[in-house]
Amino acid sequence: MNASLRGGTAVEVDRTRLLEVRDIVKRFQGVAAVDRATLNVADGSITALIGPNGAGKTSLFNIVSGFARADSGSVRYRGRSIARLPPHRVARAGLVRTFQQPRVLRRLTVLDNLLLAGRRQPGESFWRALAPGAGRRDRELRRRALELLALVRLEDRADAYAGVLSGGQRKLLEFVKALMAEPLLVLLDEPLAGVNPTLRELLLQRLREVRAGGGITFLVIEHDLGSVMRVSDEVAVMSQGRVIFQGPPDATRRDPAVIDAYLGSADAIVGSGTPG
Amino acid sequence: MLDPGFWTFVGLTAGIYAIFALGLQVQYGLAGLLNFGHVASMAIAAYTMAILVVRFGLSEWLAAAFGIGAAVAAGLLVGLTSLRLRADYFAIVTICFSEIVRYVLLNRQDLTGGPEGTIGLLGRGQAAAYNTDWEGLVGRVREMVSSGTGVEVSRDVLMLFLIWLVAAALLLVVRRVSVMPWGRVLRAIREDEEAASSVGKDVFARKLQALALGAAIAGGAGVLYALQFSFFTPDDFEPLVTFFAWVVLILGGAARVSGVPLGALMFGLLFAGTRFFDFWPLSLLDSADRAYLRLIIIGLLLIGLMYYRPQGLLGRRQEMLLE
Ligand SMILES: Nc1ncnc2c1ncn2[C@@H]1O[C@H](COP(=O)(O)OP(=O)(O)OP(=O)(O)O)[C@@H](O)[C@H]1O
Ligand SMILES: [Mg+2]
Repeated sequence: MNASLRGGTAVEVDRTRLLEVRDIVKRFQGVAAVDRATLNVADGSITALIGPNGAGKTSLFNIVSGFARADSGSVRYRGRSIARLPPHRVARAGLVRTFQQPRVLRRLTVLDNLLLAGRRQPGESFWRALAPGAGRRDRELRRRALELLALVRLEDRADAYAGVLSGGQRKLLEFVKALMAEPLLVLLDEPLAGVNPTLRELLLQRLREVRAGGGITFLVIEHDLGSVMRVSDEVAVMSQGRVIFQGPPDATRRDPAVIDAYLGSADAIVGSGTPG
Repeated sequence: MLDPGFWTFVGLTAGIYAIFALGLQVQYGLAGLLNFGHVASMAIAAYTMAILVVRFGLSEWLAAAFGIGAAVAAGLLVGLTSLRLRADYFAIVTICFSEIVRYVLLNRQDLTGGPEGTIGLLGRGQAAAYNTDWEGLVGRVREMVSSGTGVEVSRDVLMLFLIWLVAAALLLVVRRVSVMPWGRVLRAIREDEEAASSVGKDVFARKLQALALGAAIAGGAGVLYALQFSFFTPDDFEPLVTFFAWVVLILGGAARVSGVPLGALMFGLLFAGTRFFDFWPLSLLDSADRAYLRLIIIGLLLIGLMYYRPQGLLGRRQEMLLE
């Protein structure tokens, strides 16, 4: 029974809508980067978010993850409004985002980058860090972190500073860092950009495996339409701040509005075309 | 230079600065907070203790604890109001705060004794002391040592021993927590606050905690300073003292906790050693000018260090170069 108690009354949580974004508006100096965007992410799905450069995809991620405040509109996650939560509370609720420009911590080792994201670490409290036994959880997390590194073939870089990783490797680290945080919903901002084709395939395959095995839902911004259409259950298309379409991949390719605004342009695949 | 009194003085200076700078190490070295008003914690703890003992008749132990508590409270006040500012604005707030503290100490003569310092705490003509019990205890310990082992230890040597004992204990504590997940969170915040908050770390609370811990440690240094020197004035808490803590940190290597005692020893040597620059040609300068010389020498040494070892004596160079 998926009900949560709020204000004393039971509220039904719609399992098919893990994330509900309604009429989000975000203006920068009067220009609407996000303009009444509405979007649903079904529990257990891989949902793609595509659209030309500057469509407002990253801005929408920033709002959902608590890094920016919307001017209006609502964001509900597991039936609760999260529009006013600060980023760390959003992440603790299981909604974890990655950044378009990977934000790995360069002066921490690759392994420490992952350990940082681990949950329930008694050693993070000052007093408990002083007490003996705080290292036990660290060893558990270490095992999990090494598994995740192996998943993206970074296990032999575990002890290197993250600052020496290549751009593509940082993307991969950013991806597994999100998984390390035991998320329910992961927002990936262009996880494939700058990653070589072989690793791309690997990453996509991992995405499907993780989704199937761990009950993790993904919302993925991506310009590589070929790849993303193959793995996703749903596709949402953004253009000029609005979500102009949401539906299964096949229907996306046929939708006149999408073709008009996005797919129609010659360079749709790289997404650099100006919207219609 | 072979005079044991000289070396005791070097050791005492170094010990107090080791503790004082350790507080800054927690704030800057771990959490990346630019605190340019660190001396305020020391001043607040020392003065709170002295005032509570002399004016309110509190026991010295309790007063010392309240002194450290007051330093923490002041740190929290500054943090709660200003930690959300950008790093450089925060730095400006801290230096302003420490100057405000010093000016209050100078001007609220009725409460603090004013420019004359703690000796004037009871007003003119009545010398006030806040460490009678402490000196009594130190005297008894000296007697015990001499009757037990037959060795005569001077008061200052005993203080030296005690101060370094405290310094070592605090260093071990800070070192321990800095290698635990607690320290990892702070290092992450220091490098990229948004990245840390994206994996669920409460950046503001963590920074506040580091600020409070650093203030508590500096407050401890203030109490020890007060006990060692028996009397102090607002001039003992000039911004220069904060600057000296930064010197200690930079000498040792800001990223390493273990660099702090080494930096403090070097600083103590420079600080005390330049008093003895009385040989030719420096003997041509009068003693006031020679006091300035020590600042010049410290400055030159820092420039040299930045050139040859920008990471400090014990820092890791590799870490500095990561892009
Ligand atoms: N902080 C900001 N200040 C001003 N304008 C901004 C800001 N952030 C985003 N914008 C503008 O909002 C629009 C949407 O940007 P956003 O980064 O969300 O696009 P995007 O869909 O992620 O594009 P891309 O695919 O290139 O990453 C752009 O025109 C951008 O210039
Ligand atoms: Mg973007």
